[in-house]
Amino acid sequence: MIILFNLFYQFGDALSFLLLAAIGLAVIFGMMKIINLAHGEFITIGAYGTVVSAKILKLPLPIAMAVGVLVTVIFGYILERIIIRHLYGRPLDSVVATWGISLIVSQSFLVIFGPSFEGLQTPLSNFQLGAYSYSQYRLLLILISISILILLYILFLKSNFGTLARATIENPKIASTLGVKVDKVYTVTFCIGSALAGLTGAIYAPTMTIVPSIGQAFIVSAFVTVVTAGASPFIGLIPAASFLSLIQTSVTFYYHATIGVLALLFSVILIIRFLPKGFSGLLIKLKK
Amino acid sequence: MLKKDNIFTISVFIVLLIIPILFDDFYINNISYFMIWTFISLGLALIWGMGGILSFGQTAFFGLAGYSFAIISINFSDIYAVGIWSPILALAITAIFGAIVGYFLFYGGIYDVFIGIVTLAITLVLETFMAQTAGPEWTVGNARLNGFNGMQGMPPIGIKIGEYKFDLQGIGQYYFIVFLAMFLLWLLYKIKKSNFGLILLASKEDRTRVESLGHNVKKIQMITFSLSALLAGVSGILYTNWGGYITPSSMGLIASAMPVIWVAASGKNDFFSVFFGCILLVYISQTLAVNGAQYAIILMGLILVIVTRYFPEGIILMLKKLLTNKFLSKK
Amino acid sequence: MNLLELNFVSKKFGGFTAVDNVSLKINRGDIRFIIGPNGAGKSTLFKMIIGVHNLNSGQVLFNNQNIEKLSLNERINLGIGVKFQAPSVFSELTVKENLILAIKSKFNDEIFSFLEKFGLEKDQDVLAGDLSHGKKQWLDIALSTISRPELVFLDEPTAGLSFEETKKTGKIIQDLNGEGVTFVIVEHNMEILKQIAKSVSVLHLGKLFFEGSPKEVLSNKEVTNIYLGIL
Repeated sequence: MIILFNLFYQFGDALSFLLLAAIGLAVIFGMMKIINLAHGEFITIGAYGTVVSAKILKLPLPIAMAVGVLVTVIFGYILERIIIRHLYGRPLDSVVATWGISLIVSQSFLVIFGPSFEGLQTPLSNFQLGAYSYSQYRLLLILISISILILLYILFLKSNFGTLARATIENPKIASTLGVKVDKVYTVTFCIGSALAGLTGAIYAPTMTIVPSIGQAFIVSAFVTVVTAGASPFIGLIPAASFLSLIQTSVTFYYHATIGVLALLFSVILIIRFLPKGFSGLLIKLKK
Repeated sequence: MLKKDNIFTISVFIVLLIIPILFDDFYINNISYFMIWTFISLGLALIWGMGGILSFGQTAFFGLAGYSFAIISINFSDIYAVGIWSPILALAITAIFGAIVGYFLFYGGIYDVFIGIVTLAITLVLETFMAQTAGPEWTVGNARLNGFNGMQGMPPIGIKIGEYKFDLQGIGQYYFIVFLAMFLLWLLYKIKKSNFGLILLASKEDRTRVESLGHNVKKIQMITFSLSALLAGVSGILYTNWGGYITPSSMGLIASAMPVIWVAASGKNDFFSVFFGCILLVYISQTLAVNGAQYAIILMGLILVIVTRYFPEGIILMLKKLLTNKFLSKK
Repeated sequence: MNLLELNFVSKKFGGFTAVDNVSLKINRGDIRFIIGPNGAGKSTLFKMIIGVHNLNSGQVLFNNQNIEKLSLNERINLGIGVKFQAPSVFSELTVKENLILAIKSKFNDEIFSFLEKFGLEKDQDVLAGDLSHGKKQWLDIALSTISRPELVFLDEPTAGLSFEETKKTGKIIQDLNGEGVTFVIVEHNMEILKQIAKSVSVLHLGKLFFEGSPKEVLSNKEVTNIYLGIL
């Protein structure tokens, strides 16, 4: 029983990490077909925004987190206005440009805040079950990741904005002749993606050492999850993240955390070899 | 036949050939270092500029070749001519690894941005893996992998014949790199003009149409990918030989961005521009890094953003065309 | 002997059956037109034969050899030529380079004779992207025929061409047919059908509806009705 709970906890922890790491990237990729290589730095901005407002401005943690998200959204908005929107229709170039942004941001943080920053205490307490100790906060993260997904699902599949956004993705030209402000849809989508990345940084900030390269801890997991999810991340994200965290948890359980990451990459290579359209492609096929 | 746009290539190589007469060893070693990076850039220009396939993880091949060279050289340092066949073997390993990755990518039907992500993930995982090999259990034969600090103490490229001992260092290394660069540039131009190059260029526009003319595009892309891995490997081995060390960070996120920046800023469609621009940009990075590496990286990031936004053709190529039109067009 | 034989081929997209149990035989030396209203499954059928789409069921025999498991380029190399619907020439390569790509050798007399045949000899060093629409179509047809395949598929070779250009296209196809090339042509244009067709197959709602000589097809009331949308 305890072992089972332990496995569930490890699995849930890995799953929420993958989901939260990938979600902002998945929204931008799924809707705009742009891979935001600065995604990790968006997370960094969210984390620093949170820690700086909590430590220096002495704001309570939830408000500090909101500030972290807000700062990330503003950054994403400016970026979209001055660079990304000029590269629509040149997907490879937009990816390359976001890489440049990633370098600028991560190194600027290094210049401004130095190589490390005093972190926050993990909120809530730990509890004991058998020989193991568990963090309540991490359990909360599992809940948060699932609620975010549900909210996004409602936003993109049920709301008015979602309909406009999906029409725009389907065919920007037709959407614009129907009066959809395509530019605006892209800007809003990019901001939502930024907000989600900022949120990931904000809620993981109290659990990690705050360094300028903090975003890099998420980036491989994020890529791997989005690639496995395939062309329609909304459909593929949960099965992809579940599958990957299952592999990662079981390999890490028996061997070693790095081997877990290696197993992750290896399974991704196999998945794209045999399921080139990822989990979403598989699901769509099965549905038919 | 002397074509007018060859004039730049020829003059740059003339300058490179006479530099050792004018400068001392310190500068020669530095310029060697700048030129070492041109091979990984040329490999990227081959796959990206000609093939339209953007790999973000060329540094995986750079690192693999460097580490393979180090491991082989250390383990077999007693065997005759290890300084010759060890780099060749390391290159072969790299090319085969490149072909395997290419097979998975192209036969798996992975294209566009996904290729970038998968290759980037490969290099980052290699970095992560090598960085945790600090413990004594991580040895290959006699060679300690040594984790984050990287490997050192490998015998250099070179050969000993009786009394004579030749190591690839100093001025010998410099001329070796210059001649290798000349040869590879010539070879790449030949490839570009060949039917192979034509297929590659055409597949960038419309893959299915090229297949419908009876060409095996996947195979050709796989071979090209392996060639570009090989070129990255040349850089990796020369780098390891030049400094006598190789570290995991040479495969990290920042390192893997550099070739993309050099190639994009120089002009991915022209091999000479890439060669020249790469030397220039590495030189600028090095000069700036004296005050802290982060400033050099911020500048490189800025260059990348500005180039993709305003000069997608590449700055060096643009200048080259401008100069050609201005001074050499009167005929 | 049949050069190409389809046995009960079908293709479904989701719940929609685009091609439904079609069997077809093409004789060597034929100029076969495949016609039918929009959505009849013409282009799908054509893409199934060359291997862009997989079959759900059925057989494709070329020279009595099963080819449905082969990839696109492998089928082409058995002696098949293809021109897709929209003119797809390589716009960043010159006309000459386009043809070199198609013939898989260096520039030679064969390329020059094709340039002449299609009236492109003055454009050989022009980038294909800069050609007029008509010349792009011709270059596209030249690409699919220059390696002397036994069987050539043309999807709408005269789309967007003027009357004169259509006539010339028909003449070129007839010349190549005289040299032994068998053609399967998907077309809407009845003028060129009247000019060069030797036999016609009519597709309707994914099924083979009628087969016969051009005369029989043109005088068949039901075929006319399909086109008018009555059936």
